[in-house]
Amino acid sequence: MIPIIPPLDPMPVPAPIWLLKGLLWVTFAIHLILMNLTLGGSLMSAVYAFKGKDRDLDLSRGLARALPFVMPFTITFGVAPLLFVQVLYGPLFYSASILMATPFLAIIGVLIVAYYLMYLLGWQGDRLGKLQGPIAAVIFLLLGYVGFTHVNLYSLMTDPSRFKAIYLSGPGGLHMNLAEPTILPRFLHMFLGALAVTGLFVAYFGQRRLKMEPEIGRWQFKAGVTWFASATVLNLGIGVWWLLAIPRETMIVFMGGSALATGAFVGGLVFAISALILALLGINSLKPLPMLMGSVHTLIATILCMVLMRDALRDALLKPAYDVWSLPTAPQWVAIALFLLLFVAGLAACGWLLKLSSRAAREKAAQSQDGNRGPGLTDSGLHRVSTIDSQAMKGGFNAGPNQPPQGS
Amino acid sequence: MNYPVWHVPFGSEWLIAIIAVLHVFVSHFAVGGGLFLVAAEARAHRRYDPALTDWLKRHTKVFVLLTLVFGAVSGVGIWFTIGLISPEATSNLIHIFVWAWAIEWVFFLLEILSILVYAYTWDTLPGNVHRIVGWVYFVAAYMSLVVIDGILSFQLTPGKWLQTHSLFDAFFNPGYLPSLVVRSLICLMLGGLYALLTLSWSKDRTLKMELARYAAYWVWLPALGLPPAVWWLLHTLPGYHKILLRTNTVVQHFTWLLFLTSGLVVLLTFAVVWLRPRTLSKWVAIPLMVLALAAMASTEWIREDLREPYLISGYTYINQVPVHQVDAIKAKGLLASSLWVSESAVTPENEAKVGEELFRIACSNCHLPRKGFNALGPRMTGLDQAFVSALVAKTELMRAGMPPWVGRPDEAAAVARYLLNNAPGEPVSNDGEAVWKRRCGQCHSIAGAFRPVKDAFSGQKPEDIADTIGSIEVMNEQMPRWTGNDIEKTALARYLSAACAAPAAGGAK
Repeated sequence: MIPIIPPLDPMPVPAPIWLLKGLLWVTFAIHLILMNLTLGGSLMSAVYAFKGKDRDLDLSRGLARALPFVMPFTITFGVAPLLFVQVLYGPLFYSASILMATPFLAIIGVLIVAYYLMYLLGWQGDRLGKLQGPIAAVIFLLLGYVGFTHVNLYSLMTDPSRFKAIYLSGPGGLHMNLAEPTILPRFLHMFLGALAVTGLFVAYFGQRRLKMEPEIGRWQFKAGVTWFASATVLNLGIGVWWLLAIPRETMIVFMGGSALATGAFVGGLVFAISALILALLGINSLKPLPMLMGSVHTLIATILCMVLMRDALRDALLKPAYDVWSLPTAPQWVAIALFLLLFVAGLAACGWLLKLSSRAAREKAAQSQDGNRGPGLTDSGLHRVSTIDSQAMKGGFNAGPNQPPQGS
Repeated sequence: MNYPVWHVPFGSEWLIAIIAVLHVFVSHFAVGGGLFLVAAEARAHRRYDPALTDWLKRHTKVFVLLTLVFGAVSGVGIWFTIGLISPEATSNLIHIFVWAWAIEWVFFLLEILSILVYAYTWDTLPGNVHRIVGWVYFVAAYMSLVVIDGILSFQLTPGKWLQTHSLFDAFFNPGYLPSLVVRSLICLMLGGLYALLTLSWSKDRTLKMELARYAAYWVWLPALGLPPAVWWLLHTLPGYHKILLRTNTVVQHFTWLLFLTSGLVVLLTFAVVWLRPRTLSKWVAIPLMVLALAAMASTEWIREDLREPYLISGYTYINQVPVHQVDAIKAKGLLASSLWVSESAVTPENEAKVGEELFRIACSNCHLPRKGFNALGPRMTGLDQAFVSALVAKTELMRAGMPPWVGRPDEAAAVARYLLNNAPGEPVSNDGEAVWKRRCGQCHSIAGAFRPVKDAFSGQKPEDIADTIGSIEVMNEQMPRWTGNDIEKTALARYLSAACAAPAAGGAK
């Protein structure tokens, strides 16, 4: 069928394509890592809450407390690539999203519910008892819906030849892209990636506890590495499934058809296997940090390669109907310079705030009389701050002792 | 036309209205409430007031839960929604303002991090550092508003951009500053109102007495600045939008609702909370919030309706037709210009089906076919296809800001057929006033603001008026040919003769 693509916007793209692509890749990679932590974190929190031993509950609570912090940044770093995708692929993005408008827009309601449940779990978790597991599981299912719908949307948008037939079969925006053969491996690849990233996250905080709480730290570290390794091994297979499900003429770009795509493919494979080997080498080490950090770094490199591969796949699938690199451009250089300037200044301000928060966490740890209040995901102090907040929340608007103002 | 149109059974207008109103009600609080937090914290510090500090900590929790979760996600929701129901205009805006949005994103990132640090470090950071974090939050939040206001005001008053296509002209459009002032004042008011809401839960009577008065200042004092700021904003509107203030009944109804609700908010805050702060309770604070929400909904609805018939004034029509494509589409026809229809030509067999498709493309952004808000079917009762086709073909001449019909005459006839199929089969009155309403009232008033007929028919006998009606298309080629029967014509002529003879009840000629 002939691809039906709306005409390009009459206004040219206000930046060089390479700049928008670069920003898309970087912000999307960060979004992926954060998204992996929320999706994988909610599932692992549920799994360990259901297991029910003290150490399991402790890990579940630690992950639950982290979720409300990771979520806002996940969304914010999702918004940025969405912006760049709309500039670069607007006619395809809007058309595909309209075809599946209802499930797509439902993401907003689902996210709001999931987000509030995260706060409930993070702030009130201790009071929830046996409900912790089910609530974490509901959060996971809601986030899974968001991920699955996105996978549908972004795969549909690369197939404009089906747009018109889908639309004419029903203009109510109730479609998904379930007929697409790559949907399942694509979603599973993302999902297992989420478990792998969260596994390393858990392992990292486990090794941080080795000194103060060697037994539980070692258990947490091993559990994290096990999640990471199992998910990664499975993902290698799922990756092959996805690759084979791609149309042959497109798959060629990863087999020498395009230098960038082939490089990303080979790099992704090498980095993923390296991350796996490094993590496994360190699993019984007395000082696992170097190996673990090696694994973390190679995993980040893997994710960057995956982002490049995904982008190359999209462009290859769209050719020749839509060639993003040949879009007309008229860069708004003054605005670009202002953005970059503010971006750097904003990052500096964020750095200052992060420094402050870590100083505050140390301060809190020092102030706290129950420095060993029990095991947690991390001893950074985050959980203690959350405990105080949850106490304040328990009292509603009216409870709690009056305390002197700070710094007065 | 260029994009598929999402068929929303209850009307896509409602989607954006609900999401936008709720978002705006929280996002303006996110700015004004941020300033309230740091200002009140400084006040607590100056007065060594631990009760106030304690209350502020709890108020911060509400602030985070409301702004960071609902505010932020519903903001993304607006973006999703406009892309779904107005992809053409969204694409235009993205292409013009991508870097403005990118800059806003930087401020938003800073906003999120700073409010989390602020909320979680009340007990751990030195007071002065904590207040600086609060100021960082407020500045970042206000800068988000400063940026987004450029994009929102541009849609209504693009000004010189229509000629220059320069980002500077687009951003600093004629409505930018007054709109920023109006929004800033609303932010301050909402900062105070939300504080009154959480304060109404407090059982500390001393704190309540003192803080209620302080928070009430945040409401009624900025409200004094609103009338001149709104007048300034309206002053920047192009003439064809200003006229809607007088002719669009929805705008007029919401204007009255706005006056009523905002007036009550100010009155209640001043006369009840400020003068007698001890009376602050949930029974005062909750109705205040409901009234404020109604005022905000009215403001948003007026703003949207004043922009008719455009999404970007002078550039993109509300039904996604780019202004620059109007002539080309008219020449080719709607069917041939749209990528998303199943038929390529109108035939007697497919007329109703084509009518439905064309209605979806050209009308469904604002209208429903049968029932609900702005439904057209009920207005078709007693009319015939020739007459409705003529109305459809001249939509831009109707009362409210309607975009032009860009299809061919046979396509207009197909839409007319579809609309008539959706008309309820009710008995038709041949009373003169009823005939006037269904055949003339779509475009005319007797002596009102829009196309009054009083002067034309004043002093004429019913027989003369009937003659005129019978050949109206000869006298004015813009008018549709009379297609009613003689009973209707006679009744209408008598009604007009009597109505136009009466002394003018006011209204512009």
